[in-house]
Amino acid sequence: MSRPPTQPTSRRERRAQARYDRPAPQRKKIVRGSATRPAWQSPLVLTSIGALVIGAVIIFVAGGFKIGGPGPLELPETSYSGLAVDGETVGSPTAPVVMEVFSDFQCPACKLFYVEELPSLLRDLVQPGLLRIEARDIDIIDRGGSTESLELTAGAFCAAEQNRYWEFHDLVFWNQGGENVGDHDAAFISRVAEAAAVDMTAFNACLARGDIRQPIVDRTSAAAADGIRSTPTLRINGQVIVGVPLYDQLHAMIVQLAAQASPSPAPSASPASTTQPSVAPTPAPSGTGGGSPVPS
Amino acid sequence: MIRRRVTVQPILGVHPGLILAVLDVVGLAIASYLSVVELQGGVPQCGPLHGCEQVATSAYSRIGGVPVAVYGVGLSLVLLTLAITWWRTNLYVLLLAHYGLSLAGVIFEIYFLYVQLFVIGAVCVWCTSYGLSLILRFVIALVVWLRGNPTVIEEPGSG
Repeated sequence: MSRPPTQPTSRRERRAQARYDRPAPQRKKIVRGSATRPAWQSPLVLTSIGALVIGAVIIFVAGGFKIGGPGPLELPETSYSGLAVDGETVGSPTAPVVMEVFSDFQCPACKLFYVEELPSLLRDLVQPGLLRIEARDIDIIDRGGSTESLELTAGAFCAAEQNRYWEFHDLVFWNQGGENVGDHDAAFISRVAEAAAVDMTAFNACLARGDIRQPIVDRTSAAAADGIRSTPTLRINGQVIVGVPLYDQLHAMIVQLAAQASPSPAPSASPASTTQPSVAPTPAPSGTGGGSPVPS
Repeated sequence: MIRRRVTVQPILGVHPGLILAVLDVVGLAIASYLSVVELQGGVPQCGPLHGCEQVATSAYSRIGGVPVAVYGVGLSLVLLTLAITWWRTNLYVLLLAHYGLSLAGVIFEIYFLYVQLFVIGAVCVWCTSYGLSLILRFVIALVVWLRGNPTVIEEPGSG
């Protein structure tokens, strides 16, 4: 194409001249579609694939092994058939030895004690009428806004109102999760309660009551005032054992106390004795520190 | 430098980028409320609806110890920035980024809804509202891209 021979005079001619003089690289290029690329290489498909991968990674990180939901609850090895159960107490009311167990539902050392020794205690000492166990659940592990111990204990109290305390109690310890990491949420408590065969309508109504948690706070304060500084702490006819005793030593101690005891057992509300225990606590598992200390 | 721009057809007479930005602000507000409440150790208020407490106190409401809502705030801020920038420039890579991030968010929301329904046994209406806004944002970005895809304008940038 040859250049126009004369200078443009009209507006149309000036615009045409400007278009002609515009450098080629500044012209807009209209590209329709992506005929040279296969469909799967289109930006939309590639972006979608990337988003799917990112989403899957997030889900894996977020849910970990919970993607399929929590597995079935582990069933405790305990049996209360034929035993005298009254709320938080199991064993004959006239048993010569009374063992109070101060524990927190989130305490791993407490789990060790219950899982390893409770079935044997029930079979060897409670069933024959030598021992009565009185659970004293307290809340010493909740921190940083967590209320898991408090809610678990409230659930146990509500189960106790239906005389299903020990079933609930054991299910919690046999399926205990981490401390203050959200493992013992409302869904967990509901699953445990259902597994403990409580009446869920009454249970939920109990949990919703405003007065169900204050006794837990009061009990925790009273335990601290009594010198209960960590869990588990056992108070056996007034003698205090901190930590998890070896079963054989605990068994021997209870048998000895039963032989020495008068027909009327020591009152359970007696203050903590300063008598040193005759049994040594079992070394706690790594990380438990021998129990859960009461926060200062 | 080559810049690509998508031809944009308005939705209800409005640039889709502006619609996305408004939805991003809605999502940001929801996520911010949930974050503030949960970081203070509280539980969100559901009014007459129930389930927020159960969801907020469940193990699934945190990733790495941080409330999920905090990640929602971050995602909403990024999406809002992308939407506004795309609205002002029509650069198609920004629309693609908005589409991809919102799709990743939608995938997580589907998982989280499954957890609420079948694991926790309770639904948090705030979380679900955020999820719905995210789905809407994803759909709009997808529709805009599909409607604008046939014509992509290539032009050299200033660099």
